Amino acid sequence: MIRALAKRFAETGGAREDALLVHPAQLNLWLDEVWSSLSNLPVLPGGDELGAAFLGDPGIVGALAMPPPFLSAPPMAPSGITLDDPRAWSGTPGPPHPAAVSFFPHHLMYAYLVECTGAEVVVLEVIRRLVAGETLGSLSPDGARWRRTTEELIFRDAPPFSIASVVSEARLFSRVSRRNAYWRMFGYDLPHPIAPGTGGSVGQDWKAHVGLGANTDFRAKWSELLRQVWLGLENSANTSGANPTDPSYVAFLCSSIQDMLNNRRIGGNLAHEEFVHVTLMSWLHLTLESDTPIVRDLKAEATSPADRLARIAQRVGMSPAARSRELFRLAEPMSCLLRAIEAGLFSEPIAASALFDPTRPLGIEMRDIIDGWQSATGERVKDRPVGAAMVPLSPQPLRLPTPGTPPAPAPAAVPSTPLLAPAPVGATNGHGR
Amino acid sequence: MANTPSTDSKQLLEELATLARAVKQLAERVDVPVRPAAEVTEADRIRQRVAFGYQVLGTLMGRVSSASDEFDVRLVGVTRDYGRIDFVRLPRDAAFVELRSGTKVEVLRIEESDSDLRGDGSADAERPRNGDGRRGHVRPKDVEDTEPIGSVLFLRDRRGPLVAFGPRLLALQPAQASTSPLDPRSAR
Repeated sequence: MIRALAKRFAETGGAREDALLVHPAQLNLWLDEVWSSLSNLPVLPGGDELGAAFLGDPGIVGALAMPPPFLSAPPMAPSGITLDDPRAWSGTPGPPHPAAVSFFPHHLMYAYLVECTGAEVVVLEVIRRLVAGETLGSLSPDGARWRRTTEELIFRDAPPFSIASVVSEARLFSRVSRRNAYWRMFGYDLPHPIAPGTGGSVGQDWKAHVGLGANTDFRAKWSELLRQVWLGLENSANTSGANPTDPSYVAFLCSSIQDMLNNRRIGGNLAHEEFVHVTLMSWLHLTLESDTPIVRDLKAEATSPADRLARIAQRVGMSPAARSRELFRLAEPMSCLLRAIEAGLFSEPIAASALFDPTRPLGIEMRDIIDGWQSATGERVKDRPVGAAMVPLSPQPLRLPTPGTPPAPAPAAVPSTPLLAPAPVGATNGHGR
Repeated sequence: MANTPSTDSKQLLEELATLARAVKQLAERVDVPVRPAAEVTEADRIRQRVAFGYQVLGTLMGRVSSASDEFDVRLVGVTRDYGRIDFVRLPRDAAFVELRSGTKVEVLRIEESDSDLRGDGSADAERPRNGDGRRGHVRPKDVEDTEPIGSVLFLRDRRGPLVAFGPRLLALQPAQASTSPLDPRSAR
């Protein structure tokens, strides 16, 4: 979400990192404005109504939003974010402006993958040290502004009645709330544990009371989809001989994933949480996307988000996830693909065949996703059985993958395991964590 | 009546010569005609729409393009008034607009607008700072004012390709003078 705002800054002639300079109070109000605008999502070319696909029930927006005039009447005020000057307050609501297209929030998978890098844990330690002493030196004015906004936006309770608030007596820690959402939507845990004192004392209670409402077979179906798309990409240039590509099966897999994810969204479930979680993670992603003021202040300039994160982590005696480079690269494409699947973009065979058309950006993106997924998870989605006896006539297995029975031949992990092996995040920060 | 032998052999020779030229042309790949847009199959059109929809999604999520402009789909500002829809920040190559309202689809040629006459171009907060983009309008015939418009797509030609995307437009209420797509009072 914050990166979408950054893009609008850039499109109107500013810099992407201008979004980091907006005051936290304005950002908070802006989130309410954006939430309200979600009731007006357009129909995607070739897809379904986005509101239903993204939110489960579009009525959830109005149910949780402030009454329309409330945000612009005293004592409240519009966010006033102006794309010409990030430090200014215009007195009118921020983007999307009337006549412009609404923002589309990222999929929860985006938040999961960014959080898998350990960025949130590292940044928490950075903030803790910045406010506790001078071990990290002093900050520039823009760096100090980032520190304040990050603390306000991510590491404290949101203002009462704000849409950014997902913490209460019923759910004490936002990081536990996030783990609950990841578990329900994908059957995934984060690869690193919760540090003691930051929500870790509650054990794994994010899995309690979930009941059957967890998509523990997501991983098996997702891997099978990647495997089938890879098959299509491999054979896309075939002009003679057998072509095992099966667009109908790919469309069927996409529909299965769509149904599975939509089931978790019935009645607008998780829409609010997803909106907040992806916003917070996009703040961290934007922070690491370039040599922003805080990156420069911490002397962590580098050429990629993963390298910047590693350097910042080093400053506070930590190390991020080993595969954070792949995770950062996967975050947006996977989010976009899952959104498109949920919007029903690939539910028909002809439409699904666009996934393995290497001449279009979508086919190129699929290749990148498959490469990134295989590298990040160690799951060999490109491999197929060797030897004539094992080569199936059709790439489709007898049945769709079911929970606990990952499809041969890939040695897929049990769906309830983390995406990655536990990373050493938080293990070496010198504070016994 | 049967052809005479001389006519038959002459015709056969002509056909053989035509065939030989065609084989030679194919072998040398000279003058192989480019398939015109009209011959693009329905499947191609569906795939193009899907790919474009995916790019729109990426653009609105704030994705940064890696090598080319795959996630920089141009977004057009749109306002709706009775019997008329106005566009700002219109790309140069957008000649037609496709309006979708439920199952109803209307494709219209965009008419140029005088930027000084109508609309709120001066107050377009998301205009590029270099002032790029032109203005235009259409007058829908099939889509009624009281019907919401789910998607607004801009095309280079009547049948494609897709070049830009616009916002959802809410239905107009009878007493309303004008509406913006984000004005909840205009929702029906």
